[in-house]
Amino acid sequence: MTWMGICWLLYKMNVKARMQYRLNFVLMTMLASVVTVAEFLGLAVVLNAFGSIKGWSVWEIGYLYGVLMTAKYVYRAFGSAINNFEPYLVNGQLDQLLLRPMPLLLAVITSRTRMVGGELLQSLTVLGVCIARLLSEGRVTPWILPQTLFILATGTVIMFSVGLATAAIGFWITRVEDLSVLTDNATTTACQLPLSLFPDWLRTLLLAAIPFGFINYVPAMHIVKGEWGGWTLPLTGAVAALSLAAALWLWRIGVAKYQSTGT
Amino acid sequence: MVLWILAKSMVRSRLQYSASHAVRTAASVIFGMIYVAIWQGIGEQDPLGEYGTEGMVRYIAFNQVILWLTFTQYGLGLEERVRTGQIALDLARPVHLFVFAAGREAGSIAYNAIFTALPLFFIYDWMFGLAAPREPAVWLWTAAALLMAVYSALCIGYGIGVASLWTVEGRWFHLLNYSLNFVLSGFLMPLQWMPDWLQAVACASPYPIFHSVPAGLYMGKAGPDTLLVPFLWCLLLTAGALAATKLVRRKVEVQGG
Repeated sequence: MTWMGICWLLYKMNVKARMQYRLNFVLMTMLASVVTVAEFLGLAVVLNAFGSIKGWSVWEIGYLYGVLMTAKYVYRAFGSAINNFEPYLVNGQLDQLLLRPMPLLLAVITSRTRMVGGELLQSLTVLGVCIARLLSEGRVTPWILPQTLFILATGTVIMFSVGLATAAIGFWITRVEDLSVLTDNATTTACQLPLSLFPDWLRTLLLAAIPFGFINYVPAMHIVKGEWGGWTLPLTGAVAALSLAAALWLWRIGVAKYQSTGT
Repeated sequence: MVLWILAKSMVRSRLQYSASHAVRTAASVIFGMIYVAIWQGIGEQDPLGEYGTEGMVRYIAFNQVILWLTFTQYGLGLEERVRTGQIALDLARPVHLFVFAAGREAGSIAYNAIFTALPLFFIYDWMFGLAAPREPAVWLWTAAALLMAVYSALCIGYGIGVASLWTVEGRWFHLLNYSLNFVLSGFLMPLQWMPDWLQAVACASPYPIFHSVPAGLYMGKAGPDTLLVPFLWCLLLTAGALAATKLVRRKVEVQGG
C-alpha cells in the first residue's frame, strides 16, 4: 500500500471514530455552521450599514472572505493536528507517533481529523453568491472560476505552510497556542478585508512575513478588481511553493531538535 | 476566603507562562488595530454619526481592552475535569461547584486584567487617545458595569462547562457563545447602527452587557440607569447556574480518569 493509501485509510478511520457518537456529530456540524454564519454576520452587518469600504463593495469583500475561509477550512480538514500541535508536545503524544513506521509529518496529519462540512458549506455559499453577483454585474468574466479554483489551492498551501511553521517553532518553545493566535487567527481576521485598509507595517507583515495577503488580496487585485496584471497568479503560486518549502525545512530542523517532554 | 485562595492559585498558575502570554498580548494589540483600521477606512467616506471617526476608534479600542475581562476559558475548565474524572471529586467538595469553578476563573480574569487589559489600555491610550473620563462617577458606573459583565461571563462559562457532563462536544457551545458575543454585544459597532431585527435579537440576549453597556457608560453615551439590565441578567444567570448544578448532580457521566 502506498503512503497515500495509508493516509486515506487512516483518514477514513478518523472520520468513522468521530461519527461514533452520532448525536455529538450532528450537534457539532449544526453548531459549526451557526458559529461560522455568526462570524460572517459581524462583518456583513458593518458592510450592510456602510455599503463599501475604501472602494471595495460588499460583494468584492465577500469574495475575499469566501476565498480565505474556504482555504482555511480545507486546511483545517486535513491539517487539524498541525493547527493544534501544542498538546502533542506538552502531553508527549508526539513520542508515540515517532514510533510509527511512517514519515512523522504524515503520522501527525493522519492522527486527527476535523469534520468541516458545516463551515465549508457556509464559506462556499458566500463565495458562490459573491461570484454570481460579480458575474451578473459584468465586473468579472467566467475566467474567475478556474482562477478562483487555483487560488483556493494555493491559499490552502499557504495556510498549511504557516500552520506547519508555527507548529515547528513549538519544538523550541513548546507552547505555540498563543503564537498561533498571532500567525493564524489575527492574520485571518485581517485578511477578511482588503489590505489597503491597513497601515504599511501590517500590510508588509501580511505580504512578506506571514503571506496570508497572497491567499486572497493579491490575486483578487487581478481577478476581481482588474487593477493588477496577470502576473499576480504565478507570483501567488511561487509564494505558496516557497512557503511550503520553508515550512518543511523548519519542520525537519525542529524534529531533529525534539527532546520529548520527559516523564 | 475559599474564593480568594482559588483565585490566587490560578493567578500563580497563569504566571508560569509569561512569554506565551506576551505573544497573546501582542496579538491582541494587532486585533484591535485591525478593527480600528476598518473604522478609519469607513470614516473616510462617512461621518459616523454621533461618534465620528475618533469616537469610533475609541469605542473599538476600549472594547478590545475590556474583552479580556470577560474572556473565560472553555467551560471554566470543567470539560477537562470531566474528561479526567476529577469532576467526581469536585462534586464531593464542601464548596459549591459554581463557586469552585468561578473562583478559579476569577483568578484567571484578574491575571488578564493586570497583564493584558491594563497594558492594552495604556498602549491604545498612547496610540489613539482613549480620553479617560474626568468625572469619578463615570469611572464608578463603568466599573460596576464591568463587574457585572465579568460575573455574567462566569455564569455563562459555567453553563457551558456543566454541559460537558452530557456531551463530549461542549467546545462548540463555547465557540457559539464567543461568536454570538462578537455579533450581539456591540463589540464591533454600536447596537443602534445594526438592522432593527438584529438589534431586537441583541437586546433580548445578555450579550450587550459585555461591551455595549460598559462602553456606552465610559464614553458618556449612556447613564447609570442602563445598569439595571446587567443587574437583572446577573440574577437570571445565577439562578440558571444554580439550577444547572442541581440538575447535573443527578447524573454524572465521567469519560475517563
